[in-house]
Amino acid sequence: MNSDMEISSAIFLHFALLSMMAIGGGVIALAPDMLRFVVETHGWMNAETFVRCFTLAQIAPGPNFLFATLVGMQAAGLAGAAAATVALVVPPAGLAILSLHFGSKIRWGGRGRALRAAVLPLSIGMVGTTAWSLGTMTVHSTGQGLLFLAATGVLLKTRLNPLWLIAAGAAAGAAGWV
Amino acid sequence: MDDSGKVSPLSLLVLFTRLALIGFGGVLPWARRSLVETRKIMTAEEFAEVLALAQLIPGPTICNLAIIIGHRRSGVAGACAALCGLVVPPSAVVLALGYGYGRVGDIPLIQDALRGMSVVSAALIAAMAVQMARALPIAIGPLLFASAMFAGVGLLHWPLLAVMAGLFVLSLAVGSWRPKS
Repeated sequence: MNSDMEISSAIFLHFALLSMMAIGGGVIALAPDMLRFVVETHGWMNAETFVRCFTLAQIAPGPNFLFATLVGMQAAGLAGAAAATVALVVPPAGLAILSLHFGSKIRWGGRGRALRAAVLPLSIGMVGTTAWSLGTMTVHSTGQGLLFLAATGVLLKTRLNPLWLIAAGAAAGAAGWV
Repeated sequence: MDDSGKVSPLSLLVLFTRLALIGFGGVLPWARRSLVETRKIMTAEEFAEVLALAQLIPGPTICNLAIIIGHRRSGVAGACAALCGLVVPPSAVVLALGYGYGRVGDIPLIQDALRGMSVVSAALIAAMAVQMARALPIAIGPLLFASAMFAGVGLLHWPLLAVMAGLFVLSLAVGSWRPKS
């Protein structure tokens, strides 16, 4: 598979399937599987580039899942970016709009609560997986490990806007500490 | 918003565009503040209910949130308007950023800065996982399922879809089988 169109269609099919599985944890939780698909299965980019895409999307405004737009762009230009974004947004959105429009009002009894209780642990496991895979890819030195721990601690203990931490990370990187 | 609680598709488009473009580090935390506290187009109770529903149906949670709110305030047109406002403008911003990175990404200073930022963005997700885990009831079942998901996909690298489907059925079965507390 070489042409941008072929890569874009492959991305579209895979990401659309993944997006339909994004329950509870959101698309962030799908990052490790996307990484495996574009890096290990197809070799369209290396893991470092994937992480850069993730980071760039974090510093931009907008929904977190837009990192997939950059991953698509990296793999197959604008066609890839469009394919990745549309695949994540449109199929589940179509389903949601159809069911809201034609379905009777969804009733929230014990069944909704049971579903939620069943899904929640799985989403936590998935987000944990994403943290693990990003962590193992970005932390290679003691300095990076300390930065990781310090940032996690600050995020858990304070309500500081995360952008300040990202700026601190940039400064630490530019200063050559990590 | 008029008396019937309707909001026009155009206002929804503008509202969600603004929300998406101020939403640094994810839109969800800003959505609550804006929709409930500032713009007052919904109550805190309705927001919580819509959020729970948005998490349960497939697709990105924030998209589902926009769709449900848009649909309730202005039908299918409202749902589409809210979704477009949420996705299209920030996609353009992200693409511009990606393009810029393509231009200057080879500069060593930028490489160094991005390396530091990547560590922090990994920490963001780690903190999110911990915060989500705090919401779990302290019980052996949920902890076991969260760990199994992590072990299966994160450590053993089994396919996500298979692990998720299998554990979901098990988790649902265990949840409904347990005596009600």
